[in-house]
Amino acid sequence: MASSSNAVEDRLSKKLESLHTGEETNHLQEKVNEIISSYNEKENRKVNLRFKAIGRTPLLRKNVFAINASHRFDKVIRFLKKELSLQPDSSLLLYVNYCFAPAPDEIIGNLYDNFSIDGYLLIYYCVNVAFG
Amino acid sequence: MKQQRDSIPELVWNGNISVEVHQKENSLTYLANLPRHSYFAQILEDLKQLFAPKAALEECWLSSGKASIKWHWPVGVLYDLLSLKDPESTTALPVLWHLDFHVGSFPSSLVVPMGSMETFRSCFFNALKESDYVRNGSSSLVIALSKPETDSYWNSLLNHDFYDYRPIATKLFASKSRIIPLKFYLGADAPIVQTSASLGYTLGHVLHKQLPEFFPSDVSCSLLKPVLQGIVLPLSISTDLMNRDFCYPDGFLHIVLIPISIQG
Repeated sequence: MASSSNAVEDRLSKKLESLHTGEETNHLQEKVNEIISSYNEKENRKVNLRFKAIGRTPLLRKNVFAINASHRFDKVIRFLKKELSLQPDSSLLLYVNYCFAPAPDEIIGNLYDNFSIDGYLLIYYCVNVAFG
Repeated sequence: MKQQRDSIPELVWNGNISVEVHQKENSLTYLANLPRHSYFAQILEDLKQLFAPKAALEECWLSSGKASIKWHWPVGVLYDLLSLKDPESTTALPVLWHLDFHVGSFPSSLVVPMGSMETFRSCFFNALKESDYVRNGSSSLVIALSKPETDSYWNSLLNHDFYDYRPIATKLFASKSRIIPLKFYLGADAPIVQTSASLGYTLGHVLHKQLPEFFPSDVSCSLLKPVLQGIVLPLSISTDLMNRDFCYPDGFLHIVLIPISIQG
């Protein structure tokens, strides 16, 4: 008799424990999601880009622009093609600080924070490959 | 006679993920052990040949549950991010990652198409130049590689050859400036925080400085814990050790932050 009521108690307390753990896990995930939301809001800042042509490449009317930091780099590629009146599928290569071409899915904010110089993310552009 | 134990960099290099790929309404299965230090772009052609030989490469894509797979992110990073497995979990099931192959309705807002190995090679070397830039203020080391060295590095990735890889990687990642590049992944649909840190500090110090809301303490985890190369790192690990032994071939330290486990 005593052992079976202990067994019931055991099962009850394990169930309560797992509910508690489940609650804690949900609470934890909620807190994490809250902080991530606030990060996403912060990324609505604008950052400055400065474009420079390499070689025999069309020049822009204006070469300084502000863009939302949360955008991906492919937005810059598309934007520049439009500004230069190029077809969407034409070749246009963009290099940060004349050194590397970011992947199209890199976030502008990250590129700015890590590679900007004097408040500008410097992007060199050309229609042919500048270097391998 | 017992062989000398593998060095840590070699153990890291040999880490791999077993994957199983299916396509809806297709009875064929693709099975492989993919190195953490490799890319899905490397198997794109094989997948297409198996599941959809007549399809265009640019129309093909992979998914893990609801998440789509980036061709140009290392396999190890994608697994740490998308598998939803806690490396410290007590239910140590064998790793088998289920993926689905698709043709058409290419999710172009999420995945960059890798139509050819040339595109992928260019992507890879640009990522390497980017990490080199962080360490050296320009991509000078990558650019200074001779053609044989560049080819050797590329082939070491394709053939998964540690002995071709390691000498060049050691040279590229040495960081005289004592600055190293890191990418912190906050979740599958969450932001990536890209930053740099100095050698001579602990990971806890870097996390506390860069992500104070997630890491109010530099010695213990209260919300998230860091996973690198499939290992939950102690906050006391030094940036020197991470840079020396745990970089991915593109030169970055890709660290996924997952919720801490609540023990019942």
